Amino acid sequence: MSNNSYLYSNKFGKKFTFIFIIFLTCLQMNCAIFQKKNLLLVNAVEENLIPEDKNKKILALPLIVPVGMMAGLLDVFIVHPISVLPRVGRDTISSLWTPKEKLGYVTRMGTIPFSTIATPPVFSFFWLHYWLFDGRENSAIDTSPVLNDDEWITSLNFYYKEKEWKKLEKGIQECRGTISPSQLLPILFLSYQHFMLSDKSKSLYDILNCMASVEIYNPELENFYIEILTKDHTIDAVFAYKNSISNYFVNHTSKKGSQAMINMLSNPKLEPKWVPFIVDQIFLIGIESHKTEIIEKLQQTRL
Amino acid sequence: MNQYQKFIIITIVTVILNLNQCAFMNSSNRILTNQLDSNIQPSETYQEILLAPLIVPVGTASLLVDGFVLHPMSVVPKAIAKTYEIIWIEPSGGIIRQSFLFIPKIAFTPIAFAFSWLGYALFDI
Repeated sequence: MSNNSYLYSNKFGKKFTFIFIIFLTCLQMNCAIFQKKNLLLVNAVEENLIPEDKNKKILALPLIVPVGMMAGLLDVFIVHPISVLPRVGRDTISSLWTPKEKLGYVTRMGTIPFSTIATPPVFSFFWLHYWLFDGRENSAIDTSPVLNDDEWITSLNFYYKEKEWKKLEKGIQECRGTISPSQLLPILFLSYQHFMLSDKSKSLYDILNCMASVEIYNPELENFYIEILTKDHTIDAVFAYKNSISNYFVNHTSKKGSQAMINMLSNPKLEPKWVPFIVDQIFLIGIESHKTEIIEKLQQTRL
Repeated sequence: MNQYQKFIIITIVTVILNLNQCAFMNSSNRILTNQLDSNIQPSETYQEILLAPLIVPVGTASLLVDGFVLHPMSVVPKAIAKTYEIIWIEPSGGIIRQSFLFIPKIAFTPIAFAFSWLGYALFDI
């Protein structure tokens, strides 16, 4: 064996190992190129160039096969890598250039060189990741373009109708507080009911968080808050969002809300952690008769 | 080390830094930079821009000093306490067993200290 033999050279060994590892990882990780939705040109060839008639199909094969192969290569090495670039850019900016907490001026300035140095490798990492391996739910073709408010609310209704719960959850996380309550609230009510039944507490937090963005008075939202306070006060998400629910009552001097809180106090199943909060909020809402009722009850207890 | 190896190492390091919560990511571990932050607070955008050529190197140096000097030094007592807790506290067994384990314990002390110290210095634990 010659020392110069390329076949056995170190360079060849490294390349072979690298390709082999990528291939194995690709098989394991549901590689992007195995996803139909990531092969745009191949799909176009299949939809438009293949005749329906069997005989014509066989006759056309010598033309279709090379065209399809070429389309596949273009998809894998050009179309797909380019299509993931916006998402790669977004992720790089979000990881390196968007601080997770409020930083001081010196810290912000001081991190600029580090972020600059880390940008090329992080960008390359995300690019390779989305190009090669991200073939699961989020396709490499960017399926999450920036939606305007109308498109966003339409997409939520569509996901609910089509029972695409994961997409619905994700959509609600990107809550748009700018949408009118009459459009926003119905889908949030429906989603709450669904996720409540399916015991997905994480989604309940997101829904209540989105509802908290509604500030103007809406009787349906008032009734909904009353209902969840009455029925779901044992749920952690409801307890976590008690302040925003109560603020809604306070801001709109909600008599019904205040009455619901009075009723909660009479509920023997009410957890003790709620009691001081409710008493406090009833006084903040400020309905005189309810305040008097609380004071009288306290006096009776003392007597 | 060729360009390709450097690229792989930088990528891996970046991924690790993102996956694990590094010590310097936590603001409570940036003693010097926090001091600078609280003392240098330009109120207007133009002031931020004018100060940037000076503050970028100062801030970078301060973050490096925090990450590589001050924070590692500040966790030495914590690492000593952890080493004591792992190896020396509440010895089990009788006097013979303790005598037998004494030399290995001495040998393991610097190793345990090194790991604890590196752990506390690098990661936010």
